[in-house]
Amino acid sequence: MMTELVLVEGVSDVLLISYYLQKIYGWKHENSNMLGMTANDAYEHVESLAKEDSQLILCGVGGNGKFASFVEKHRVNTMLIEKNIASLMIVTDRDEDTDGKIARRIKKALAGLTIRAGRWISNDITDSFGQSKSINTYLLVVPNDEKGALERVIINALKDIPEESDLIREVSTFIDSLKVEIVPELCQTNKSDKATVGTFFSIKNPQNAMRSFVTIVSKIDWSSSESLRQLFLPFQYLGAEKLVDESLLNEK
Amino acid sequence: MGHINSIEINRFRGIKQLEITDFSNINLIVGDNNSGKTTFLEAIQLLFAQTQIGSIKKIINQRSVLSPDRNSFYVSFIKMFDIEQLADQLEFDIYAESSNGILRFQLSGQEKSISGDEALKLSSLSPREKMQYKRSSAFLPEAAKVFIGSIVSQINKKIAEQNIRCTSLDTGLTGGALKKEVQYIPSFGHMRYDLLQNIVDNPEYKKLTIDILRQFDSEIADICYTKADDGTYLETIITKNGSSMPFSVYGDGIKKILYILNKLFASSDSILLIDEIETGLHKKYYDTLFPVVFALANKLNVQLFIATHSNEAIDAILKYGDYENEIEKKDPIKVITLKKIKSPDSNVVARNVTGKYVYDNKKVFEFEVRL
Repeated sequence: MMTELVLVEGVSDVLLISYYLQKIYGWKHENSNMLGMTANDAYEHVESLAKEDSQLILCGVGGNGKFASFVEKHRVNTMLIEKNIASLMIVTDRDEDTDGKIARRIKKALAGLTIRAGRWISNDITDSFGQSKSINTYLLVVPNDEKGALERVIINALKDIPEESDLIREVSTFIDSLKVEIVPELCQTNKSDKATVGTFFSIKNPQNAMRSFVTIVSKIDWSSSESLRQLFLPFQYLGAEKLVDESLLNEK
Repeated sequence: MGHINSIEINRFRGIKQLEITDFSNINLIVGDNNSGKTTFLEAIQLLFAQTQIGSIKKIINQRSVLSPDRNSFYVSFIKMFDIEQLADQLEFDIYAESSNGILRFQLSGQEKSISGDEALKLSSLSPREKMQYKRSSAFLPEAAKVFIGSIVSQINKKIAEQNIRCTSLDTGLTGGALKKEVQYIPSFGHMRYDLLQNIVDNPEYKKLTIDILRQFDSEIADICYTKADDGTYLETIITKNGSSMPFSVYGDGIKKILYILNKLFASSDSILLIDEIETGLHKKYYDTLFPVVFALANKLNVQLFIATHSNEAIDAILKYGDYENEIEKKDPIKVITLKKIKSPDSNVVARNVTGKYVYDNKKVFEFEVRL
């Protein structure tokens, strides 16, 4: 059985990506996974999915900057050597960083593996029996081409969805209006995006305003967002043959 | 005689080439069925068989311990070679580094087709057996096989060579056997009895054994040989109320424990090989038995190679490593997983990791030790 391992930042990422993988790419929820991975604490989140003879393990590492500690605690590097894992995909927020800087930070946590933003890289490694095998890596930085985090992706996606676009634009305008005098803190892009998303969902679904993202995420038809479709295109290769960038084969 | 630090096996049975280094005092040999675990244990024994034909015969016969099939002896013999080798260039070679120097065992030669009459002449059958064949010539096959070759054995700087011949009519090999330098416990060996020979004459070992047995059955007072009505000697347990109970009335567990202890006492400053340690033992005994065996092996300076299929046995053995205790110390356990691979050529490969590595991985994910 082919195993795909996807590490993302937080529970919101897990929920949105899991929704997308199930709705668009036909993955189904499973109660457990063959690697035996489970959340170590309340901040981590592990979702197991399956499709045909593949399984996909989607792990929320517990937030921004927690990739290295998650990799260490869960012995991910050892797992990659010892278990039959076809690929490792990492999905992380761009915030204010460049692709290169993010890739370097992630690479530090992955013993010897090369990872690049926006490309499947085939890494040849030696397992503990001395046999060679290959693991594909992919770094998906969100948003793709602007500063921000998952909330920016959600805002862009909502603007694409005809039924949601009017409301999200109104909410964005409202949040912008608060920046000057009332809540200057919202001048920070991440905070303003979080506030926009939070406000949008509260208005959209007032009865669930105090509930978690888990309740809200399934109430939007994310499949009709073109920007989200473009951003999540790399997911089509999970559980399938990857289109490896051969110019970077085994680059260390 | 010492312990071995590393081994290299070339073209022996299903192993094309295998090198394992850095053995510890307790070495767990794990893997799927037919992955080479028993072959690995046989290779260690051959290293110490030197050029003694009788010792080699015993090693070949171990695989059929409960029902020795004399008629298939030649097949068992010739299957020691890699089946992909040419008949006129058969050779296998086992090399090890031990605490007392180099050990090497090499068997080479060629297999030829001969007539049944020629095979009868060349065979090591007794004159009486040969006569039986001649009397009933219908049983003598028209075509037969003969292997003619030589053994080269090296122990440190001492090299010895011995010619060897075996025909497909032979039911064994004729020659001397050494007093076993490496003790071997086959998976069902405890069912053959002979469990007390190294225990009853040594008061210290006997007391220790009785103390250990009492942890499993508090009614046990003594172990000894008693004379049966027909004059034969029976291995017997005396209970606290004075009853004599032959071993046959006890279950496999007590016999297995005694068998392990008996062999352990005979392995002082040497090596004990245990194939499928879990056979005959209920898992509830593991936590009591294994620490005793390991502590005793440590005291007697015995290096252990333990083959197992059992995840429960592996977990119980790893407890001896005391890995929750963070104190830095040399890991007493190595876990060697053997795996058969088909590509690019059929071979056996090994993963050789510490007990702590296995313990730490098993805590975090589904780390399959046995494969």
